[in-house]
Formats: sequence, C-alpha cells, structure tokens
Amino acid sequence: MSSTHLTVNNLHCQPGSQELFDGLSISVAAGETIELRGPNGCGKSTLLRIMAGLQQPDSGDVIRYVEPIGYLGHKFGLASILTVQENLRWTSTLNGAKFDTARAQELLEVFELRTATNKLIQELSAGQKRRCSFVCLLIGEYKLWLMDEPFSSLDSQGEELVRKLIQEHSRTGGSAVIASHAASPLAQAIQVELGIS
Amino acid sequence: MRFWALYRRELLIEVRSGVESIIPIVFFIVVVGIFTFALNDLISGDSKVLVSVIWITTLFTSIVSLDNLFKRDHADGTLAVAVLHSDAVLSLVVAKLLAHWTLTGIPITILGPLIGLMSGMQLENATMLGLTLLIGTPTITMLGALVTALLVGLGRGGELLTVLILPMYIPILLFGMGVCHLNIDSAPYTSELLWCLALLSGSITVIPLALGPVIKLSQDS
Repeated sequence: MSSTHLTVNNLHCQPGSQELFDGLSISVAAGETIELRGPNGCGKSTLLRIMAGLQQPDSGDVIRYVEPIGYLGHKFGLASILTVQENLRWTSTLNGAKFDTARAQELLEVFELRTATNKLIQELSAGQKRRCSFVCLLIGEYKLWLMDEPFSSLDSQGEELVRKLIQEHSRTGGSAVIASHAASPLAQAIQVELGIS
Repeated sequence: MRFWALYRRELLIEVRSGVESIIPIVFFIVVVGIFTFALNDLISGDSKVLVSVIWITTLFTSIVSLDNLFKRDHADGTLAVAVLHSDAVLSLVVAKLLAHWTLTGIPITILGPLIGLMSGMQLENATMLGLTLLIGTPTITMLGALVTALLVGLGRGGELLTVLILPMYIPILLFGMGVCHLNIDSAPYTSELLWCLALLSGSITVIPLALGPVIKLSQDS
C-alpha cells in the first residue's frame, strides 16, 4: 500500500483574470502535515477544494490514494436542525460504520461538548460548531484531512487542542493539508507559501 | 441499513423544519380548492377539468417543494461533505428523494382522488387518478431533483427552476392526464399507462445514478 495519500501534479488554475497556480505540484505522504500559507486571495481555499475534488482545475492531475477524505471547509458541515449526536451519527453512517456511542462521548468530553450532546447545532456558538466539526472528523476516521482555516472561531484553548490533535493525527500515520492564517505556524508542518501572481 | 439511517435523517430534518415541510401540501390544497370554487360549473359537469387541475397543481407543488431539496444541505456544508463519500452518495440521494416523495408525493396521491370524490368524481375515475399520481409523483420528484441539483451550487432556484423544470414535466403530464381522460371516456388507455410506467422506470433507474456527479459538479461554482 502506498504511503502517499495525495499528489497534485502540474496544476493550473485561473478562475477569472487572476492566475492562481501555474504548474503547482504537491505530494502529501502519510504522517505529513502541510500548511498552506499566503495572503487572502492567493488560492489556499481553492487548492483545498481542488484536492478534495469539489472544484476542477483548468489542467493538472489530483490523485487521491485514500478515500473518503475528511474535509473541513469554511462552512461547518453540520446540519443545523439536528443535534450534535445526530450529526456524529450521520458521519458514521456516511462512512458505513456502526456508531460508537462511547467513542463519541469520549471525544465530546475532550472537546468540552458533553453538555451539548443533545443540543441542536443552531443553538451552539461558532466555536462550539467548529469543535463539533472536529469531532465529526475524528468519528469519520479519515486518513487525510483537508482543513480550511481550522482555527477560526476557536478560542486559544480550542486552538491549542486542535494543534495537538493534528500532531497526533500525523504521528499515527494520518496526513493533513491546512490553509491557515494563524500567527504561529504548526509545529513540524511543511510550510508551503502561496503568492499572488 | 445505511440507507434507512439516511432516510430517517431526511425525515427528521423535514419534521424539525416544521411549517416549511407542510407548505407544499397546503399550497396543493389551496390551489386545487381555488380552482374548484372558481370553475365549479365546469368541474361539476366534467371530471376531466378537475383531473387536469389536480395534475397541473401537482407539478407546481413539486416546484414549491423541490426548491429546498438540496439548498439547506448546500448552505450548511453537509452536501460538500456527503459528495466526498462516493460510496454513500447513491444511498444519500435515494434517501433524500424517497423522503421528499413520502412527504409530498404520497399526500398528493391520497389527496388528489379524495378531492375528486368530494367534487363528485366517480370512484373508478378517482381510483385511476390516484394510480396515475402514484406513478407520476415519483417521476416528477426524480426529474425535478436533477434540475435542482444542477442549480444548487449557483444559489439560484425559484424562477429559473420553474423555467427549466416545467418543459421536462410535459411528457408525464400529458400521459398521466391522458390516462385519466381516456378512462373517463371509457376508451382504452393501456398505451398511455405504459408510457407513464416507462417514464417512471427510466427516471428511477437513471436519475439517482446521475445525481451524485451532478451534485459534485454543482459544488464547482
């Protein structure tokens, strides 16, 4: 089995007049975390969407060796009129796995969402929703995480928790590509600087 | 098991959304009711007019209800998450379509003949109306879902949905209504009924398979 989780070869993308990528190539291997950095509008989110398969590039290849992919976009990816538990259950269902209540409770405890288990998503704060998205990501047991601004809406404690989580994910053979504006870069992450041409 | 879990989730979302989920049926009853009162003289003398009114209102009701089919999931990001699970997408779209049909198609299939009977339609004709609606409403759901999926990423619905969907509904409308009219005239209707079944079979077979790629494509906008 390949230890590469995703490769991007010779990517070109020009949505409108501005060229975002001209021959960009990236490879993501098991255990790696890649942090995409750059100013607003440089194409970090677009690159993540292309990697996920949610957007088509003008040319170039994206090869995903692991599927499904855990994707955390600008939206939380949670049904607002379902409870936290129902959303977690849905993630398990999508993955064809049996819902592990004990594991879910354990993760909700870690993310300080235990008391919100039966609350509707629309009743939660933005930070709590973001935390819940991370619990979904963990419940889904995805090998490759694509995360767009994962620290947004989180307090410093939440940000620290997520940083540890990403490190732990890489340590256990998972991989992650993260678009981030955070002031301090992720420890042990490969930094990829994107610019505006 | 995965399918039924997804189906239950869709029903739960519809139930939790409250009034929004019953608006299409209320719309159907109100529109058919208005026509029944306005065209009372015509309808009491000729069941064909009422059959046509019920069928046409069914089409408009589907437009009212289908506008929301993927919109909510697109807005909260769950649609993007779902399409990344390629092996679950088919189950998901079929669950969505079945839930939609359960909450709009089945009530219309029951209400249509009931309104007919209350307006003086013969039992035999009302039964045939119910049968054609039973075949026609899932076809309408399938065809409408395809257009809705194409439009969801554009953030457009409403008027554009109406313009694109209505021409696609013409065959099922003509054959469905045709069967009822021929039945009222005591003429043979087997060929028209077979066409209705062919449209249903075709749409049930092809459209769920096409919806996954279409939804994924719609995310790219």
